[in-house]
Amino acid sequence: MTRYVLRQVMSGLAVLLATSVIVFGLLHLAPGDPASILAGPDAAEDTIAAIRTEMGLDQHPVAQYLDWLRQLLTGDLGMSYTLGQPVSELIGQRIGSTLQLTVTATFLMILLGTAMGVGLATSKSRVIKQGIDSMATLALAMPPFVSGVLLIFLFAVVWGVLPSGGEASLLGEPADAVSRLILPSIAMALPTAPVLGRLLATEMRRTRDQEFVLTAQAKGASTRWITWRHVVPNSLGPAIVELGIRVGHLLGGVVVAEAIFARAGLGSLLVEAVQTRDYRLAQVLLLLGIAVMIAAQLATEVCMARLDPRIRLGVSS
Amino acid sequence: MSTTAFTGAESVDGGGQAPVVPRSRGRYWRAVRSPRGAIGLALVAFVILVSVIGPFLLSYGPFEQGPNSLQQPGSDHLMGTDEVGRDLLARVLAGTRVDLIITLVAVPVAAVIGTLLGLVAVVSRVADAVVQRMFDVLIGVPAVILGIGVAIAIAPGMESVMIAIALVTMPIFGRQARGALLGQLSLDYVAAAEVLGYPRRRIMMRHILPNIVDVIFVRFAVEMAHAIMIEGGLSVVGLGIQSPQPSLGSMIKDGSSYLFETPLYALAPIFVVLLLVVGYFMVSDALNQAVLRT
Repeated sequence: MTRYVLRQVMSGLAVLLATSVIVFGLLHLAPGDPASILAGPDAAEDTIAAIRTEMGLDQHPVAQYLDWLRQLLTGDLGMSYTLGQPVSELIGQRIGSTLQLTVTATFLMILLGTAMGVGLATSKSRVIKQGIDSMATLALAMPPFVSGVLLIFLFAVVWGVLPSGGEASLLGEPADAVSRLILPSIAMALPTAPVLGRLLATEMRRTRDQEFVLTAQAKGASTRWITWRHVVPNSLGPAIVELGIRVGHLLGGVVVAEAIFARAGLGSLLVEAVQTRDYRLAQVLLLLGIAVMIAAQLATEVCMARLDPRIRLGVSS
Repeated sequence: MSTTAFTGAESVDGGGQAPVVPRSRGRYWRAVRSPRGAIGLALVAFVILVSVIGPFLLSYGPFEQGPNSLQQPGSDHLMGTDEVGRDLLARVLAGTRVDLIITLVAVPVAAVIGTLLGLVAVVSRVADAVVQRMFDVLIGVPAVILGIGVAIAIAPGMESVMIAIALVTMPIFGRQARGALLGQLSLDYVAAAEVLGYPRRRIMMRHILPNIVDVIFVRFAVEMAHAIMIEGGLSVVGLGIQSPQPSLGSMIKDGSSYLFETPLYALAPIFVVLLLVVGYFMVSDALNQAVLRT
């Protein structure tokens, strides 16, 4: 097991290293010279040159990359060009908001997905099944920016029951903070939950035909017990794999949700950084996002390997 | 699972299986005539027609500013006006056209490149491994993040959105083509062609490719919907189509600041997005049933 995990971690790090080259390369493709942007529109030529030297932009790109990488590895994330603050400090200020939203959205996604899947697989009523299925279809057709704006329109504009955006300190004003978390996290969870639900339902139908279910029935276990104790745990595989991918994709959703719901998290920081051409900051944020995404996929692979020894031993069934 | 599941729900890893049964001539026609296919096609055709013909019937252009900002819908401006007095209906139609152009350029390009890269699988083992790794990374990165990366490299705008869409959808076509291709290789007709001594390239292009085209077509409809979503996401964030150019996404972005005053500003483009996405999904579903499951 340790060996398997180690191998996965190594391959994850290799991907991260490769993306760091790409992310760094983006800066050199980018239009405009960072030094002259920083110096302002009517800066003198030698001021720009001085800034360029200070930032190391006059060195060879490879040297710059290695320098940057060395700094990152020693925990120095650099300074933001435009905000004049250390990048690590900026991330520290904004990460709480993003973390709250992503964790809530993931939780909601799992909850909705499981409910949907179990409902689809176990309900005997055609009407209920059709109902869940139509809802899933509708949710799938709505990306976060559509569901987000529709939720604001319904809950904030028409019914006026929830705030349309912004955020509050979770420790200072917990009730307010939670009420501001509800809509954005639903907007993020809604398009992904049906995917999980359908995967779970399909796998549950398959699991139900297995002999151990028959054994449990023969022992006289109740239907509910069999469903939750035997069928669901043995049907999670495909849904967990998908969840790993989707949690990574939530990082895209969080950027959109923060824009729509006016939340000051890492997603909006990234957008600001790109818009103000603060590429140092943007690079670190992009890399951070990709690192989180790789970690999520790694975690699922390890989970799967724990659930199914065939995977970690590299045996095909 | 009931058959109503839209193909959009499938995981991208599910390499499409090309049909083993012979292709019937009327398969696309049958898809179009099925209720779902007909409705889906009608929705998409409706949006295209209205966005193309509409401007000729309107008295205002999408960039024409008027004296009344955020005006309510009325006889003069059917949908009201935006914050600088431009006609909202004209802008929704112009935005729809921008979305249609972007997706109709980016997705076919991605489909062709992706398919060709997928076919590399039979040419060389090493090239296949490299391409597959690249696809892994591209599929893993969320579309919006990828699009932001593109927006750094070249200034945000129509080109950056098109490139982002192409980068996101290309690996999906590639996987699909590769999966279908590998499914075909073991079939008798390929062996027969080999026995006849045909060169590999001819077998590939003349015999196998036509058999996996169906899989690509079905995927194509889903990816058109996907592309609309990518444009929307990027523009809503502010790194897609830039003002004053309207697009469905940028109008939703601008309109969402005025949801209390003129809700139609954001809701009208959302409605168009839903029409297109649902339409494409229905078409793909109908194709899936008529073409792949004959």
